Amino acid sequence: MVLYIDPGTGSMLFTIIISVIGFVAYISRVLWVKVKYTVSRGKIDKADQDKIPILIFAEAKRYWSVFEPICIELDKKGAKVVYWTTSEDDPALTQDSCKNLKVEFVGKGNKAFAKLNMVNATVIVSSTPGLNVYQWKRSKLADYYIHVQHGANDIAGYRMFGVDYFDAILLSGEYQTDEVRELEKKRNLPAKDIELVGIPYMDALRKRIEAAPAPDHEGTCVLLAPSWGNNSIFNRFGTKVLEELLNTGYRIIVRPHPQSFISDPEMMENIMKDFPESEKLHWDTNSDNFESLHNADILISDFSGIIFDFTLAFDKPLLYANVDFKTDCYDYYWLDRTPWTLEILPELGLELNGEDLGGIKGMIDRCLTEERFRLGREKARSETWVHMGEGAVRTADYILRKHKELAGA
Amino acid sequence: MHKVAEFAGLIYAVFIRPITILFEVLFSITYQAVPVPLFALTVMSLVVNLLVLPLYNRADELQEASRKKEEKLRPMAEHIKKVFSGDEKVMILQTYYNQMGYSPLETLKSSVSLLLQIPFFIAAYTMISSLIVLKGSSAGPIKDLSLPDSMLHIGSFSVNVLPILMTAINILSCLVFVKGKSLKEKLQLFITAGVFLVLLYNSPSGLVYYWTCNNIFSLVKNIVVSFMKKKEKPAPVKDPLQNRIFIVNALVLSIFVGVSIPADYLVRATVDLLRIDNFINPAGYLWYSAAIAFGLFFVWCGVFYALSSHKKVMNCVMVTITLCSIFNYFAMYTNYGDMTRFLTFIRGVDMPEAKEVLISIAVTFAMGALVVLLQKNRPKLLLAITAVLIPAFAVFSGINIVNINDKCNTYSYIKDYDVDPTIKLSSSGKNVVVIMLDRAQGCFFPYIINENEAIRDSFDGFTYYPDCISFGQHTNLGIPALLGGYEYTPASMNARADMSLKDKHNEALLLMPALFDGLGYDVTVIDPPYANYMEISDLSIYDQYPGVEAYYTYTAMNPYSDQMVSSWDNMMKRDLFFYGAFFALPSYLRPTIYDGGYYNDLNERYSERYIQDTQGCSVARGANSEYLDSYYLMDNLSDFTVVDGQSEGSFLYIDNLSTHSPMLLDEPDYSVSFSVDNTEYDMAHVDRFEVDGTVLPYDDITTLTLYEVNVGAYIDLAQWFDYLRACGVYDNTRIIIVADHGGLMYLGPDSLSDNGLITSGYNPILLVKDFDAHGFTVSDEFMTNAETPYLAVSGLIEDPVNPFTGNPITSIRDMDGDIICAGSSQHTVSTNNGNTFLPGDWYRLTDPEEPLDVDSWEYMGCW
Repeated sequence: MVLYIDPGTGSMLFTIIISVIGFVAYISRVLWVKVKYTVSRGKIDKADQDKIPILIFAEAKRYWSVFEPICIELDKKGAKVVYWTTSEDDPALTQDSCKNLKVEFVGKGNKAFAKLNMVNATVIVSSTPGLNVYQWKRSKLADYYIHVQHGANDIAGYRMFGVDYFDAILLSGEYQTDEVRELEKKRNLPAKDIELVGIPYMDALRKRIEAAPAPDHEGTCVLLAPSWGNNSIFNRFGTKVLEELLNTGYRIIVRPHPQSFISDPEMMENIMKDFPESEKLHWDTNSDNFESLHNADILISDFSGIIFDFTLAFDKPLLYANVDFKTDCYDYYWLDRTPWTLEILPELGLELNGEDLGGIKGMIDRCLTEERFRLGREKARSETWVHMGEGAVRTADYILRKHKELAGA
Repeated sequence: MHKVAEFAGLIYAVFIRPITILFEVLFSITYQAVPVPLFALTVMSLVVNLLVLPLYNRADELQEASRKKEEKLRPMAEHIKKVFSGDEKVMILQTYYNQMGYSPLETLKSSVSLLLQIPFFIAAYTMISSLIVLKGSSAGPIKDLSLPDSMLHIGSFSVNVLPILMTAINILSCLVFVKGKSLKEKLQLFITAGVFLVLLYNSPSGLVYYWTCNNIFSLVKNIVVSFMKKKEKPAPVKDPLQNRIFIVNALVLSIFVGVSIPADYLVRATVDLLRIDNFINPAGYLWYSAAIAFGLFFVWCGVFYALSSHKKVMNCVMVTITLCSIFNYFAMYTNYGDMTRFLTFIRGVDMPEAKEVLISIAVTFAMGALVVLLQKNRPKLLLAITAVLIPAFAVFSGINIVNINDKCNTYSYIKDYDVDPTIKLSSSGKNVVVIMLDRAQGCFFPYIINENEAIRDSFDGFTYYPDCISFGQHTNLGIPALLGGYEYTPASMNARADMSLKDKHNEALLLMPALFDGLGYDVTVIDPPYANYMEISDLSIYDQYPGVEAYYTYTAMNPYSDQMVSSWDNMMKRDLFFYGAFFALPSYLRPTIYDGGYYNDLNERYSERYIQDTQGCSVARGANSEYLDSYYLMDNLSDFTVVDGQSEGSFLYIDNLSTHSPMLLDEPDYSVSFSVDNTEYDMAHVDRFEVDGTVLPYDDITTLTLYEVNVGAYIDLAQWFDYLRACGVYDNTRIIIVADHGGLMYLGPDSLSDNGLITSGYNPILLVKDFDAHGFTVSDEFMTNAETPYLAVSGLIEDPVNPFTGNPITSIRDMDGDIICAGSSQHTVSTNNGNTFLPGDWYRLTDPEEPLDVDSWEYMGCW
């Protein structure tokens, strides 16, 4: 029996088959991702019976520096805070500065997200982006999600849709507010609560710098801090950058990104073999970067968050590698404006590319001596670091205010 | 595999059956008005296309909107697909789509109009390609609409012109449609048109004609659309309250029409629907009626609703339909009388009186106005009013379903019944045979032997008692006295109020078997009625008498059983929904939907069917299933008969319903036929209905069909008597042919009183042949059917005594009290089962000399 279908229908039949196949393929992928997540998250306990008043979630131990000043401030005000970390060796687990802080290791990766996705809390504070985009979903039992920054630059520098599903974002510059509002408009999202609070961890860093003794070395000290991957300095320029730096006669500290030992072990091994530790060359692999940053007079780095810590908190210039930065996968891509980071960089230091390596000494000297870079740092601070020194207090105040509103509601 | 097929059947019932039903009703109504298949196909195409036109227009708009949205989102979606990979790509894309208010389901929206067409195609294909009326039906140059047209002949080669014409129109339509579209799109359409021409070239011409009509409609539509300016319609405002109102009403209607009303019928008819040869719980068919109702009200009305830009208006219509349906069923309920197992009313369905029609229309308008008012001012109230109906009907239906299941469980014992009887007759001793012909009319017999002298010859030795009465007009009231004598007349049973009717009825059933068992006779009982007061007899009451062989054969002898079960199964899967819709509709629309019991199923009308549809008094189609279920026992009596030369004697009781199941038979031999045409015979033998100057009202179809089945029974009995004679066991056999009551027929002015008494109902047959009797005599002695036990044991047991009461078994001749008869119509033992009969009319026979004259009866009142 042949199904009787008229010719006009026949042509449309192809359309429907393609549509159905496309739809099924898409849904299958979505389901597959969900299945993978379900399998890897492990067993979920039932939602906590007691509501956590304030929960801070740190995706890695390195964020303790971001949250510590906030926790101390909250502790001072007597707030009971729960701190969830995904690092077993998070320094927060051994901290003793906050009596009211309860720190818990909640497992790694999807196990942590599974717990977070069911959490019963009034306010959740985190610096992890991608809420409701990746595996981390908003819990139906949680009332309010607050994002705090862990970098002193664009909020649009996250991967797409980074902070779209937070209820509030605590920022440090007016330009960041504009970015959020532009993204909200373009994505038909409701307006989030935005508060300019400054940057608590930068304030803390600044205090630490002020308290630290002056660097004890003589002459210029250069910190080379390459990131990892195809666009990193070592991958792009090879070892020529080290050769040229050693030729300057300055003291060199090399602090590769820890990930580079994992992603390019052979390359790193060869470089360390060819350029062994010496009087003029020091390989820094400490987890705390403070010493290196403090001792260095100038930073050479490719595109990473550390450049703003260095230039703004340590108030020192930099040479940044000519990395062809693509905004494709970031929220930047949606903005009509040029990212603030790219706009401000020429005012903070000089750009280094493969051809300039021979003149690197001159460039270092220019950066260290030219007044415009000092002015550039001033300008950058004024734009991206409002309420300097008040970040932790303002952040804690906001969190407590919000908690009071919600708990009293 | 069976479960898979059932599931597929349910899916079909949800998505396709509602459309098939629409096609069938449209075609059936048109075809019955103008019996020209092409005209009906044209009207069907036109109506269906007009009906779905707004649907397709809206689907086209949605398709366009969806396409535009996709276009708008495509650049960013493509970018995301390019720069992200793996799981992240999926998650980022999902977020993007969410933010843009786009569901991947929308990719299917572009195919909505095609998706909508597919079920319509399947429905039309299924319906038209199986349409019996197309077979052999010609139209102009087309010789048979069920075959390819072969209109053109080139030498020995024949060409089907209609598919070519259809394709030409289709291409023309495509030309209009693809105006301004790319060459690729045009080519695609034309090539596909060609491919389908090849594929469909050999299809039935009726089907191709229907599609040609569709294509003409499509052509006209495309031409009109091409001249119209496209207007951007604003997207409909989302209104969750309206959506809830729709969902609730669709569910209410689905449950009410698809489950509640059919379950309400099934719970009353469960026992009638159980068959010994095919024991099926009829509640299972509620899945089908529910599926069709859900498909119609929820799925298809839902499609219209979802695509409608006038959701409030549509909801007003839906709620009005809901409220009117409930009103029609509960407030405008009409008792159409008894039903057959094929969901037909024995009395038929007539158009209601004008007053009722006007009330019904007025109520519809009033409900509509109320609904519009509420929709405008208190839409939430509208939701609340209808929402409470869901649990109400669910509980109402649930209780009925539980009761149906309980009944089925109660009657499950019939599955173990022995349906292969052995009739033992003694050649050495005496045999007593009591044949109870249910509703066999006493006054028919003279006409029957007048028409068929061979019957009179075979009934050698019989005495016919025309002045015989029964004590009730229904089996539950009439049979106890027949079986147990005068202690079991309704009045006598009521007098023993300390005992249940069930026990008294059982006593009556057991009286003769017990007495003859006591004599050492072989006792055989076949199909005793209401044993243990169960509608399908519980034969365990005979277990206390090991010498008694009891059988239940009703439905088991029917040679058409398999076809009948299959036909019934198909009918239930479709028509149970129609039954629900029938009662939900206003009474003035019911005759149209009922369609003489065919429920607009034309194939059913023209195929072998197990309900008889009579046209006049001489022509009929189909056969009455109840007759088939009972007749073949009578037709095969000889096969079951075993003659024993050693036994003391035999007692046989046979109860048969063939005389209770009116049907036209094929004359002159009164055999079963699914297509009866007695016109010629009837014309030539009008005189058979006149005996001694009295004419039987043969032009009344009820009287005539009852007469016919009586003839059928006597012909079978005559044959059996001949067989007994041949076996040498006729003369030593006493035979009593008796009925529990007569039929309610108008047999002239003397038979009907002002207070509703119809004397024919109290006039059972009584024919008695004693041992060694010969000749045929008519006795004018007054008799009752309660004389049976006395006649049966007479001369065999001296001073017979009722083994249960210890009282003597008496004859009418010994009686000095009044003859009091029950006129109650409470004939169901599942309800009329206390210690005394439910209240009803009572009559006293004042003049036993003229028992068939209403003037001989006195109304005693109702108690």
